[in-house]
Amino acid sequence: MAWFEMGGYAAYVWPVFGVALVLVIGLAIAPRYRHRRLLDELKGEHESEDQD
Amino acid sequence: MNWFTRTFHKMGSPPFFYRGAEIWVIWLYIIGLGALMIGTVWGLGFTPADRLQGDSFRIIYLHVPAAHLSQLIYLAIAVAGFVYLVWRMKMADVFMMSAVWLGAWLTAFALFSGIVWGIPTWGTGWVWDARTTSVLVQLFLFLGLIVLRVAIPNSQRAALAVAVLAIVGVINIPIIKYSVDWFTTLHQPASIQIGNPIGIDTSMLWPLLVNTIGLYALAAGVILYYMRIYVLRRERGSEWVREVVANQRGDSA
Amino acid sequence: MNAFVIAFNRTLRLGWRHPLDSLNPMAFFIIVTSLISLTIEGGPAASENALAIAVLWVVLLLSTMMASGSAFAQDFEDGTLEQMVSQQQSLYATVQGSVAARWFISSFPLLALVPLGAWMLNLDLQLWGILFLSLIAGSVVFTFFGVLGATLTLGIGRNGVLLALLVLPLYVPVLLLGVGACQRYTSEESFEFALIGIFAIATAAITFLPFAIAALLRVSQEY
Repeated sequence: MAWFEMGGYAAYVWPVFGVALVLVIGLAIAPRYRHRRLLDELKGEHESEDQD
Repeated sequence: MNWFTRTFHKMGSPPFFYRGAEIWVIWLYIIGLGALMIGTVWGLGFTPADRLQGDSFRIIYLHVPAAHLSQLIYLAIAVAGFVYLVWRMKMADVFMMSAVWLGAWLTAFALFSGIVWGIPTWGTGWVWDARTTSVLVQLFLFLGLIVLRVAIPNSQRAALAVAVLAIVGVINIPIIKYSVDWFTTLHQPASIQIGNPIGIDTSMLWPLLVNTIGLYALAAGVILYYMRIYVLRRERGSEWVREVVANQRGDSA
Repeated sequence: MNAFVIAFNRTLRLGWRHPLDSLNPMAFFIIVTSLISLTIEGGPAASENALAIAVLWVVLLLSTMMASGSAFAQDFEDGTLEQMVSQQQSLYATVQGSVAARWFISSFPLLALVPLGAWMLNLDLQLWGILFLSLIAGSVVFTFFGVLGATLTLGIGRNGVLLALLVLPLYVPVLLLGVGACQRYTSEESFEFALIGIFAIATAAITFLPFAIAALLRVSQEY
């Protein structure tokens, strides 16, 4: 398909869009993991406090 | 007005912020990712190629929003730094923490896409002109903010130091903004000037607008998400955090 | 094992334990190279004048950065800073005074050496004026930013790379303005905005930075 060749600029256009895709997904998902980790950490803290 | 001030004061209350911001995060994510998808497909598939740059101009749909937003994030951090410095508002510091990584990544992406775009159009990836240099400077400012926060053990002193550095770094913004007008002699003549209206049709600008809105919305969502996380961490041990953690059990957000 | 291998291994192990010893020179190398390449107009074909201006500006920048990097460090260690912060007189004026003295000790002699450097680098005589004028403002800004960087990192260990990472991004816009003013003057374009800009930054630094530095000094004593 001619479209994928980007008029000869495929080597420049696609890497940029690929990196952008990875970056957007990474940036969007990262806080979710961070949140989950913090909640687990806090849960552990609270449970150890409750045993005291 | 009454409604506004009441909401404003409530936003300063951590439990209200944590619970109230969740729905905003969700909507900002939906709008942001949706608009980015539409704008990118539109820009890649349904706009004519540029008269001078051919299809390589399509990089503009990512490069310009990222570069612009990264600069705006820097300014927002500096304003938050000023607010923290004057009123010692904790939420301002939480904002600084939440936005700094995003700003660094966007600046890095703006540099990367600019380099890749420069190879076919300028004939070289890197030009030491005032604009590229000041974007590189912005990346180092973000890194400096990150490293400074880690290097200072006391969190209050770290917050103050980060705020001061962010404010002083604003000196870089006018250089980015006006570099094209001010430093023409330092520029290696570019074969095609960015932002020159020649060859840009309005039909090419629509996807740019959509992508810009999308990226802004997504960034706002991500920053708000991190702010929720850091509020939770800052308030650890308080009663409402215990409630949040206890209620989380099943679905574990 | 012969002496060479023993000495080699020992020194290598020592070096491994102090990675900053090799990171610092590397950072220095990269910083100087990029600063010079971003200030030289016209690349390899740059005129002798452009080269001289770039080299003198970069050298002044680096020497000011190193000189002001140790600001308040001794005061912090021997407790003088505690007295400075707790005394009745305004900390703003104290900071301003000590930065002024620092400029007088470290930058003023350098400025006196600038004509020598300009002569060694064959700078055209009619450019000496603008170079000197812009360097005066530049050295004031560099000193203030250097002291700011030193205050930010006060008490968290002497770390040249950290200081450079914090301070250089603040230096570069000033460097671009200063060199821009000189080069536009050389090519007979309007240089006034750049010169006014750098003096405006210097004035702003003298007026506002002591507030920031004073606040940082205070917080460094509280926590």
